[in-house]
Amino acid sequence: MLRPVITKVFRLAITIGMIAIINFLVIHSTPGDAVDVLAGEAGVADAGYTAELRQKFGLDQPLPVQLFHYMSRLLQFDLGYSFRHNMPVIDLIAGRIGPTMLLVGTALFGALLLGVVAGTVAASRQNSLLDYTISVLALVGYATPMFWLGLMLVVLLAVGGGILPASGMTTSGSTATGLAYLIDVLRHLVLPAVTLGLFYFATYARLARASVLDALSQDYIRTARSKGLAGHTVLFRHALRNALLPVATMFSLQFGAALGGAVVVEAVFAWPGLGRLAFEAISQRDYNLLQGILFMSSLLVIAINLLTDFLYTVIDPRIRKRA
Amino acid sequence: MIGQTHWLHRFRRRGPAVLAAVILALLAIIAIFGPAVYGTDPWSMVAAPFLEPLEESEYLLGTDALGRDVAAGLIYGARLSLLIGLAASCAAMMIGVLLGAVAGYYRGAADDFLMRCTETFQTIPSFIFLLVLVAIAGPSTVTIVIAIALVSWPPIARLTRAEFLSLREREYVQACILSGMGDMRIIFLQILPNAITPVVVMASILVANAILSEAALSFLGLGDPNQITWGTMIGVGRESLRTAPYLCVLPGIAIFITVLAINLLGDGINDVLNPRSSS
Repeated sequence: MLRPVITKVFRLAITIGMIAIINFLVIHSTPGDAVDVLAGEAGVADAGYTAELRQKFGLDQPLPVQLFHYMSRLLQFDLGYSFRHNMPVIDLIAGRIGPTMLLVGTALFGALLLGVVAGTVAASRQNSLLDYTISVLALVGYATPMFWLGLMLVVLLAVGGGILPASGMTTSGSTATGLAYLIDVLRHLVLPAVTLGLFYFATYARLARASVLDALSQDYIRTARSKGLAGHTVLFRHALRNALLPVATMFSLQFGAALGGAVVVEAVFAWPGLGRLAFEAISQRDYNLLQGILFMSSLLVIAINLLTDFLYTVIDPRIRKRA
Repeated sequence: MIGQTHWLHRFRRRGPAVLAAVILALLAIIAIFGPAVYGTDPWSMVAAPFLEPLEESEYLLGTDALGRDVAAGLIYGARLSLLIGLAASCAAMMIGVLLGAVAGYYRGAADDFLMRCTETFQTIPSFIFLLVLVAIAGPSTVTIVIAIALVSWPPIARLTRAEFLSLREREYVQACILSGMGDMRIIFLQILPNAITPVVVMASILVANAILSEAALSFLGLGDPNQITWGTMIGVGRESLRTAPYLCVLPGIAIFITVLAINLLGDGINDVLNPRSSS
């Protein structure tokens, strides 16, 4: 009973540790360290001063010692300090996680819902015009570069018609509160969420179609049909439920990819999230911030994976029995 | 022989895949010979800025904000996109096949360790990882190829491992072990040729992802500064999105067609190789 849980926690700890090590190694392979950047900024390259700074940040220690310090700081959720923003990295990230989760969550859940519905409908009318249309839409969604889709939506809907706002999360200078604020944010959310969501819609639609088709060919469906159950009951209660498992797996796999997609989408729509922060960190060579974002977004992916594991047990009672 | 005609028949029935193959062949020809045949340098300012497509017959696709020929940029972009896509997925395939083969053949501790590594790499959001790698290594064609490979090998490794796990139990492999053949020879000469087909199919779809990743990197300003790519053209064209949308539209369509063709071809090959999965 307890054993699988312990194994799971142990494996998680190893994964998190490995992520930390990769983070550390990547950041330490930069040509210059934080001190070089700072000294370059200040215009002071006096050797004594830089040595003093290195000692202060512990950058003069051997690599394993630095790694040890880095890991022990991570355990206390200390992700270092952003000299650019003059703020602890963790505070910067905390301020940006909300908008990113709103964007990614809306896009993924919207895509999941619409994709599963589209895929199921397509499977139930295999080779019909509707099936064909949904398949073509999925192919288009797969092949459209996300940032380009965003720009095209801006051209078509924001610049031309002025129907939807194309930049930011709220109207600048707006002091709206309550419902008005909510509506403002939702209006700003539409274009970024559609941009980010189309690709995932395509994935879910294709996957749901394939797995519903697969489920429909099983014996238990024939049984359900021969019992005289209505067509939609068989489709949604029998076929879809079994087809949802691969979709759930896909969902957790794609969360990380969607976080990456958010970088591009946030850059297009000036959405004040984690991705935009990462983009700024790159152009400002703020490596402390950058590795903090990389680490935290990996933790987010782990959290979502755990959540999906839990969801599995809800969708599939067989797993509940086993665990 | 019968098997072969059957294959061809199946392939011909798949119109989209054949069309995709033709498009990709054309793109390859453009990428290889285009720059030399077309002649115009994509960097040089050849005409008035912001000539719209079809406005002047000499520059059919118009000119950008600096008066550079858009068509020349698209042709060079084709070369670079395909090159980066192919090189990155080849590199990813080499990493993935090597790690997957070792994990699947040796099992045990090596397998555990390599699979934890694979899981770790799959947990880290790959595009953010890619951004960090390229930002740190400095954007150039080589670093972009390596970085894309570093973030895209895990699915290949998992697939290769699964193939190896099942193939190593086959009698012909057991016979090789009994005859005293070395591990390397068994892995690369005996098992790998039998495991490689699905891996190559997966890698071919990686090409599409690599092209999209490179375009997104260039769009964000992290492309090779010495090369013109489709992503860079869109990133630059964005400045004049309102006045000259074609500067973004055209390279985007180029990416779209290329990626669509690769996906369609991949689907087609998949159907031919696994007839049962096609419905």
